[in-house]
Amino acid sequence: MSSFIEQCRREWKRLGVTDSVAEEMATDLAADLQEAKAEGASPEDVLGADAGDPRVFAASWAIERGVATRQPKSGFRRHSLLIVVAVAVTLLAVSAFLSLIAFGQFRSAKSAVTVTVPNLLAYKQGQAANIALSYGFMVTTVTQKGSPDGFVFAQSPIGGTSVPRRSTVTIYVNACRKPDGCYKHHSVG
Amino acid sequence: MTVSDSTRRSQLLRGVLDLCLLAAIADEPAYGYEMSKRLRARGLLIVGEGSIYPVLGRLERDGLVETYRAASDGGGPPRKYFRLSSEGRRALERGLNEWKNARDAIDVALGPINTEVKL
Repeated sequence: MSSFIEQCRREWKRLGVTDSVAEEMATDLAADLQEAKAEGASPEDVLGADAGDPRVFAASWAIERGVATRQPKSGFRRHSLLIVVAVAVTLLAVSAFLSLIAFGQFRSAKSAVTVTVPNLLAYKQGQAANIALSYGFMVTTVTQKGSPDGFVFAQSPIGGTSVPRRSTVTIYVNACRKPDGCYKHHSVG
Repeated sequence: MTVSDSTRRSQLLRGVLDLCLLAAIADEPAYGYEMSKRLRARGLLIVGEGSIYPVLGRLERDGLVETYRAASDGGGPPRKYFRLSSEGRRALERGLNEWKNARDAIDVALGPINTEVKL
């Protein structure tokens, strides 16, 4: 582990740790590692996951202890840069994903727009048909015998009902003078 | 999505490692590796986690531990021993209460859950 400690020393020097403090830390670490080795323990038993990265270990120890006078460079900066890039990519991906979701919802919402059926009762046939058409409905007219002529006396769906756009509204008009009545259908729209 | 077992263990340990180190020297001072051994003897392995040295450094910086050099039982160079400062002892007491409160609340939250796994 002398190599590990030497790398720690270099990192401490780079971080501005004074020679006396660095020497103290290196001596303590060496003594601990030596004792662990004598007991058959591995460096991981002493250093945990930090055993694989002396620079990170040395920097975190010096920083936490408050003896580093300079900021860590490459290792920490590289990690920071990676984190920033990872965060940026993640944000972009999330934004794109949310946009797709929003667009999909917009499209589905658009296709699912409902319209309230206007009340067409008592209008003349032509007026009623125009009103319904102006709302975007298809119009089917059923004429049947009755009086007064040409006025809507029933409609389906009834006024106030919410239905999908481009639905068909059927209006029933008293317009047939034939004695046997009639149920002639014609559609517009 | 839940975190992996190792990540959860790491996060839990990270939150209380300082407390565990303070507890390890509550009755008797110890040097770094000796503390690792005391934690291991209590069933707390730090393999796979970060080392205790940065945490010890923070405790020292914050004045929660005091240090002195003395020869160790095993011989070799004088070792740096850590012992609780009065502030460290108060911090340990506060930390233990926080831990117990959190642990009790979590026990209650997790208690009613049936963890039986049917294969």
